[in-house]
Amino acid sequence: MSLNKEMDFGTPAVEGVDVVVTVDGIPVTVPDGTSVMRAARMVGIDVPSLCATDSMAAYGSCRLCVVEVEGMRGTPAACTTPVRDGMVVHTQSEKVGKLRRGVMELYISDHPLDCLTCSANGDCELQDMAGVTGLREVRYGSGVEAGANHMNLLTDSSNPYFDFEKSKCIACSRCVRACDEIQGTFALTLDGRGFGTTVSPGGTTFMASECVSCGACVQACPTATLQEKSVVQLGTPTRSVVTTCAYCGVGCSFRAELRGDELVRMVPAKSGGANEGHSCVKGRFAFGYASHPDRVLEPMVRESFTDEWRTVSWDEAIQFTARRLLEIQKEHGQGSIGGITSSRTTNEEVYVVQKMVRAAFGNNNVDTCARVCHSPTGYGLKQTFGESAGTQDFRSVDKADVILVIGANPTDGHPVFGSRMKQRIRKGAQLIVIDPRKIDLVRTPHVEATYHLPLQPSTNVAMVSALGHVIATEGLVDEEFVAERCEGFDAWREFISRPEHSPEAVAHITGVDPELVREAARLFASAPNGAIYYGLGVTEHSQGSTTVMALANLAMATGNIGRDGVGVNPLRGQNNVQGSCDMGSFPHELPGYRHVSDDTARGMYEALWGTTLLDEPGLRIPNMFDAAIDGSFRALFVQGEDIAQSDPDINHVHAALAALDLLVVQDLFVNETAKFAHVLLPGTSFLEKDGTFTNAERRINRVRPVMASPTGKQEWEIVCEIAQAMGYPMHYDNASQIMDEIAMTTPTFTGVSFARLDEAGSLQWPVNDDAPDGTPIMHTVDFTRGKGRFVPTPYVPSPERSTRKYPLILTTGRILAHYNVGAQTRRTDNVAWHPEDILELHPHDAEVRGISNGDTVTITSRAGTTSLTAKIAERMPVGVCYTTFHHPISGANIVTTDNSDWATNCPEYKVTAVQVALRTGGTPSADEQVGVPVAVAGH
Amino acid sequence: MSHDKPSTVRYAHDIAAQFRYLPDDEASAAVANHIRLSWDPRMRRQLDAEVDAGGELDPLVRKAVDLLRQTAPR
Repeated sequence: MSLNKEMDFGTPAVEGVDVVVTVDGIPVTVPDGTSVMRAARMVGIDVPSLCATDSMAAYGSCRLCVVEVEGMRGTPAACTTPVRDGMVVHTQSEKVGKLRRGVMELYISDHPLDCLTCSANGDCELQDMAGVTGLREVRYGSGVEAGANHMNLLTDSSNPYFDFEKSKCIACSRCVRACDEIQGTFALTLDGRGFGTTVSPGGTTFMASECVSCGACVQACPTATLQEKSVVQLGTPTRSVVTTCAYCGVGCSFRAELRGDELVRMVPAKSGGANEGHSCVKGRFAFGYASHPDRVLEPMVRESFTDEWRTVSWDEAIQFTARRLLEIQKEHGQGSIGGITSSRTTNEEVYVVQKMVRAAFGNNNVDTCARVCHSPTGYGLKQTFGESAGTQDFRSVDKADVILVIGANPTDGHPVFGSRMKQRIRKGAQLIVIDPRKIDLVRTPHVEATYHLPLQPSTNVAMVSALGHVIATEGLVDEEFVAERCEGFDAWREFISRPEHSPEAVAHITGVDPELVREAARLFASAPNGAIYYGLGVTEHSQGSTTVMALANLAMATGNIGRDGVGVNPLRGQNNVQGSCDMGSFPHELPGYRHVSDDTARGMYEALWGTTLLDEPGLRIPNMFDAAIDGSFRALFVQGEDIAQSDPDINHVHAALAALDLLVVQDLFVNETAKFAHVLLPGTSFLEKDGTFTNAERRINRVRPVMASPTGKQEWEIVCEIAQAMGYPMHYDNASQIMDEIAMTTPTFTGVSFARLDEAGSLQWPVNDDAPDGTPIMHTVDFTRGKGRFVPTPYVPSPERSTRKYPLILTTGRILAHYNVGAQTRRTDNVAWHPEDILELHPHDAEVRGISNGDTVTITSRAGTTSLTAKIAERMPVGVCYTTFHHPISGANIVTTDNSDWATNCPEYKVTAVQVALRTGGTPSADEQVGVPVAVAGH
Repeated sequence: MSHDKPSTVRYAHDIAAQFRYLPDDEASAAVANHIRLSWDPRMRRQLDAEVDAGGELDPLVRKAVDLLRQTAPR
């Protein structure tokens, strides 16, 4: 249920030839196969219903939507009856009115009539239908007086976010179907038969069940049966603001529903282009961190990071920051200071930080947290396609015939898109999973991968090249596509056809049966539409950029670019990774991915910003750390990123931060990085921001302020004030003006403005004269660079290898309930699902070490040692162990190394040689626990 | 972690390893171009210093540094 309901047509839209039907005398043109209910509602005739909703297939159980159709016998259900050309429908008559009231009498006779004190009072479809059908009496009585009933069923309050009040259930099955059809978890069922039928989460409580708490069932419930606890506690919301989720790169749209200034609940928006009404446990429920008492609301300053913090006014904090930056620059040179932008902030906030660095600092020492996640995507796709972005919209997966997922775990990392992918697979698309682990997609209810290629960590290039080898040598190339649209193919074909790239030749590297590789390659190449989806399991390697290019080669060789259902699709980790990169956060690129040596682009900014800009790249994040230790880099502005938690080889990072003369942190909390800071500038949560996020499909979504910032300032205002205090004029009246400047200077954003976004809902860049309504699918006619470019991809082994001393490979990832370093989700009830990080390892690896489930184990690498609780997991391959990185105490970044992608320096988080040993008690010794225990990264 | 080589040398070697499949002249040009487009000038100067100091360097990196010196950073 939700406030301010979006229009619900009762059944999903269908595709077909247009037919004309008449509903209550009104002609309506709809595609053949449309339901009578949908046709009626399209012309504003609201046929009553309880079990129907347009996000799910028609079910036909409630019998409230009965209508009369001329020429048809009886009273068919409008939801399950498809229209035919010339059909004449009557939705209101004495006959159907009587039938509907009869149905309502039965529902009400088994319903507690506590409407005035019910949490859904005023927001209840059963209540609405009683009114719509004109119900005036219930001949059987109601509640216990009606005889047999369900009033004594106990409420299940086990889920921290919603209650299951069984006595109010009308068994319409909307929750069960939402779990099946939308989420794809199949956690709910209708238990029993006839009058005894009840909804059940598998015969147990919600928390003990398979439920993933996505909220689809709560959204679907027409009564108070499944209700947010926040609504029970606070009451029905009274107003709403449409905004964008602050978690992963799917970028779901939500209606933030409030009572006054208090946020009651987040309801996924059906109009959201990325999520179309679906959500996950994070976006739907985990927003409590925004009002957590840990938030810092006033600026703080100190001379040394060993001093106590001193709360100061905004003016003092800004003047202190500007003065110290200028002093340091005067003493140590123009290049001695820099800044880092965040993928959790808006495009506008990122843009002003990079502008401050380039124009006010006078250098290019600006980088972004995408450095440690998807920088190889930017490099690899620009080299091959000419644009640093994925090629498709999410909707495109609905047309895919074969889906190749490599180095991604969408059901945990990108759950709303993961559900969409599972919907497509249940409808018949085939799936190839390339991953060391048996991730859920390999086998989950009603989804099973046709091929799972369980490769060794760090061997992606060898594997993808082997797929390319099969395609090139078995006549599977789309010769016409390649000839017309690509270049460099002959050299690539010669390279990839060499025997050393065959599946048989690389089997000793990848560890995968070569025949499986051949069969998978044939399946992908022969599909009418083959789509590639990948994540950090591709990018966070020493050859991350090479694998991205290898995947691009694969898509071009098979002609899988430029239309629905195909493409190369990076699943971005954070909500604005794409946007932060678009906005010129990299030290070598101005906004729109134009190199700083591009005289035309640089000249335009010089003219607009009134200052000279450097034409050589600045420092990347790891280079900043090295330069801080060698003394040439002395001051750093960090916007909303916790580098002291998230970056690899944490002892090195801490040494670098401790060496700085000035560290300025802009964040919601006193995070690990702030422990080394001299200035803490309180930031704004996504509920207070005004701006835009750009998701993994290049979709620019508005982020609207749901409530006023408790700090009194927007983050972009603070940055502008620092620049001005340094003597560089930088002022905007509002965030909209920043977007106007972005649009004026960035060719792919020419047609973007807040007004245009408000009108369209969202836009996918490029948005310009050639594509005024945006570009859901790229490279449809030409590639951005003209011809798609094949790039040979030699396999270069990672320098990180298992040895006798470190015989296992540790790889990391994230889990559904948490987000990255957990700064947000750990401050919500999501900890109920994942109170600590654990180390998963194969039964064999556990047995030879004497490790049992629940044991505390030490994990030691060349970089350091930490401790975790062990879990024995069949999904792990022998020789590989896995942990998440959501809790500071886990300290996985103590053990990760400083190896990085050759092209971008993206850290190789996914490959660390370790030894795991049973810890026999006591606290870790100084030798064991090297460094401060903090959480590992990955975005 | 401690290393026996400066990070700039490790980075340069990583880049060289990726282009080694090309003929030598093309490979060194590719390495030089990658460094030119993505490295801060002070990192190029550090690599220069390693060459001058007679450090143990991949020949491909040495050739790339020669090419980079033709467009020396400020």
